[in-house]
Amino acid sequence: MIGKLPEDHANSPAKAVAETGSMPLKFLRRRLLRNTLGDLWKHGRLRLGVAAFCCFVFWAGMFVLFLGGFAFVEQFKLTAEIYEYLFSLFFLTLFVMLGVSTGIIIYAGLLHGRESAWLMTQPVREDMLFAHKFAESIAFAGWGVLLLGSPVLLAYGLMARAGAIYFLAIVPLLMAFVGLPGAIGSTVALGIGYLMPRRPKTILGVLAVVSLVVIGRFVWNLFRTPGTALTPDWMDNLLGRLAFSRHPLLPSRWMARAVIDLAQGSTKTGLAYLATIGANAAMAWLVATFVARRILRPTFCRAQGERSGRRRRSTAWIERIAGFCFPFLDRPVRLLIAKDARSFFRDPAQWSQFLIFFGLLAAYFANIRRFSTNLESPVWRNLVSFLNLSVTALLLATFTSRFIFPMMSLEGRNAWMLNLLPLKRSQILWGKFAFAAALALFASESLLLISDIQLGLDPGLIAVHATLMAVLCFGLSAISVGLGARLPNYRESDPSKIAAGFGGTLNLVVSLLFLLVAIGAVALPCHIYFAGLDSRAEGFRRMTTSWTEDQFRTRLAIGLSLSIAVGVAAVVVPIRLGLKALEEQEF
Amino acid sequence: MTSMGEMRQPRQGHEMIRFDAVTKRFGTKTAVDGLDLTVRAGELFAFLGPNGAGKTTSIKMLCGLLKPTSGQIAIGGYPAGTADARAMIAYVPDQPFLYDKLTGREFLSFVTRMYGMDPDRAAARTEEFVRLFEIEGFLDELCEGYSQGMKQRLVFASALVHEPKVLVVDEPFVGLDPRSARIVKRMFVEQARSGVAVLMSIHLLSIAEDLADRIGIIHKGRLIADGKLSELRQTLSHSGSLEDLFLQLTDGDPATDPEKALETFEEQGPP
Repeated sequence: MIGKLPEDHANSPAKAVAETGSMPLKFLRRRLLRNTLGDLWKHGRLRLGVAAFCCFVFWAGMFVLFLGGFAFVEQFKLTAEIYEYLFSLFFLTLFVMLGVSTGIIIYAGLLHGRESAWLMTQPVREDMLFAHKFAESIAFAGWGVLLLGSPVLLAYGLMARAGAIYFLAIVPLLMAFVGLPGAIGSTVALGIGYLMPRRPKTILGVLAVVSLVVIGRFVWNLFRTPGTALTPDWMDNLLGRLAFSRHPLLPSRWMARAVIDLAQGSTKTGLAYLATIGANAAMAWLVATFVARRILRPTFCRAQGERSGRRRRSTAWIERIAGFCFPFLDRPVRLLIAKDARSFFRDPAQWSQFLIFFGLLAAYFANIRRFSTNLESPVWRNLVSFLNLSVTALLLATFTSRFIFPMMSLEGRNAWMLNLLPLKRSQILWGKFAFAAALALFASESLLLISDIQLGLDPGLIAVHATLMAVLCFGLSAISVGLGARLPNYRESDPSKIAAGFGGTLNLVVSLLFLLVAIGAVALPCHIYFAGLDSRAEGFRRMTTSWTEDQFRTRLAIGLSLSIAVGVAAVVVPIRLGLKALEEQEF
Repeated sequence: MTSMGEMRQPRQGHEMIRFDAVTKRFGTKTAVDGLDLTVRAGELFAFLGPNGAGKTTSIKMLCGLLKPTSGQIAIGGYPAGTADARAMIAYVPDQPFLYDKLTGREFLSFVTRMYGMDPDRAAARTEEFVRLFEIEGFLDELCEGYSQGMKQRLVFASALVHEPKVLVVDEPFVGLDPRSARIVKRMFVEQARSGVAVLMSIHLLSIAEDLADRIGIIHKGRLIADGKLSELRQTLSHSGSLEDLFLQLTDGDPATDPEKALETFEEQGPP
């Protein structure tokens, strides 16, 4: 047995350390922020400028959209109760998203990060270490909420002609709100780590699926609200189904009340709600730090030590599928594709997100006729079909930016090994492109077919949509693979951070621009033609034109050719850029 | 403020590291099996063993990064992982961590602040180790631009700047050039002679042979040999090098016996 502890507690080795409190960690954060910004200012002004510009465009777009939206809604003389429903739902959604995202960041950063592993060996108290990582994740979340929430609240304040106190309270309101779900999410993450240290990704994946099923069920119920849309009875039924969002114990409702009361001049009540949110956030943070002090170290030890030692099942079938799908590629390239596919299927963070979002879309498309009563009208059918195509393409663009773009950066750490293989460097890039395009084609074309068949579209139009979707799949895959090779980040091992960096953001912007041009070129002639066919359709009279079917076909062919041309450019230019960068890369 | 430097120095020979019947299991696999080990103040202990023998797991338990399944570990009498134990220890892992966006000087300053050192004492110690490890040339650059060897030297400086009573190092010579390796070897001996208990996990048997006061060999989670090199030789009636002794002790395991592994390769072909 270990002998008794030294009796001289006054000379305890940790005494000097305890006296320093959290000052060293504050010093660390200040220096890291200063050096990061300084470095960015010195070497990445273009990057900083592009990021600031993108943020401004996003913020301004949101502001204009919501200002217009509120002005439109105001025409119907809606009561404050309706606004309370809207804000309660908005903040409830934000609450859930913030809780989940902060929980994931804390889980990954605190229990599996290299920094926390090092700090765990240093004389840093566990609650201070937690507070350090919490501050980091809240700074990220707070920035996002400010970017998303401030234009909404500013637009509402202007519409409601709110006083100065309302506008002054916007930032404190949002900041207080961020802390509450963050603290709850972090506590839950620590609890999961403590109680279920094995296969954490699977547990998080299951939680995500359960959350999405709940959300899916909620949306499903909303769509099934009885009564004719926009009638008073229908509205009553709809509000009845949303009543849960106004539960007095939900922080989202406190936020909604604070916003509305402050905007309408009930300053005292509004500030009382703000104080309630702040006090609860502070309490939740105290609970989280208390929990961290008690269980962070054992949780960390479990997370480090209780790794699953299960043997992986044979995945030879992946190589067989790669051989079947890509018989025209050399065997080494097919092996590289199989390696990428194995990494994809063994990481639940990747396949679960893919499955959840594409699965939800598939469920929606398969039931699309239940959700809309206007699908007999050609113009609406055309509109919904392009909307579905655009949503699928947008999802694909985020997927390629999040998972395909970082692939070359992640490979870069071991690229010297690939460089020694009997392969041309270009083959590595083409292999990644083939993998991304095959996965994208399979998922997107399946979704599109479900949607178009459910909508009862003409086979000719289905063929046009399928061709357009193929163009989008090839283009998006090439953009992500090409720019991934051109703008790699070999220092970072976390794919989400690579995707969130300059290269990833640029990749997303380029992908969205590509979608806008490629889809617009086909969607526009279709819409003009069908709006002309159905001049009774509300809101489309100004678009009415009298193209004959032949004229429509000619214009559609021109539009599709333009999309294909843009698609070819989207494949050739980024891939060439990527190939050049890869050929010149020194390892 | 009480600085670490003002604390009582451990007496030479005082027990600073103690493993008491420590076992660590990962699921069904036993990584460390009933480990009993002590390292005293002023002693340089070399921890040897083949890959996967349990060296790093033992070190991680000592530093409070893993919890033993059974048994106890103490540092200077304090249970491993507690604030008091962590205040006495310095750990240099095989893959050291540095903040990319701090300069070397800022990193050293952060470490001395964390240990609550008196600023003047911290400045003097920093200068001392900056000179010893010859890192002044790049000390004001961001760590992200450092080579492996530069990082390793800075990490050694940061480990020693706060005057630890126990120094734990895992594979200390990875990435060091011969000059830096010599500095590190000399530093280990100096630290031990000044009363620090040094536990060094290492694969380079010649260095262990040169430096260590005591050698422990761990194999399949069990400490199969512990003592001075001369004592081990005497016990095992062995007169050869430490390498021969090591291979004799871990005999039967093709992973550590190159002769057997070669024989197996020649008989069966590559795996």
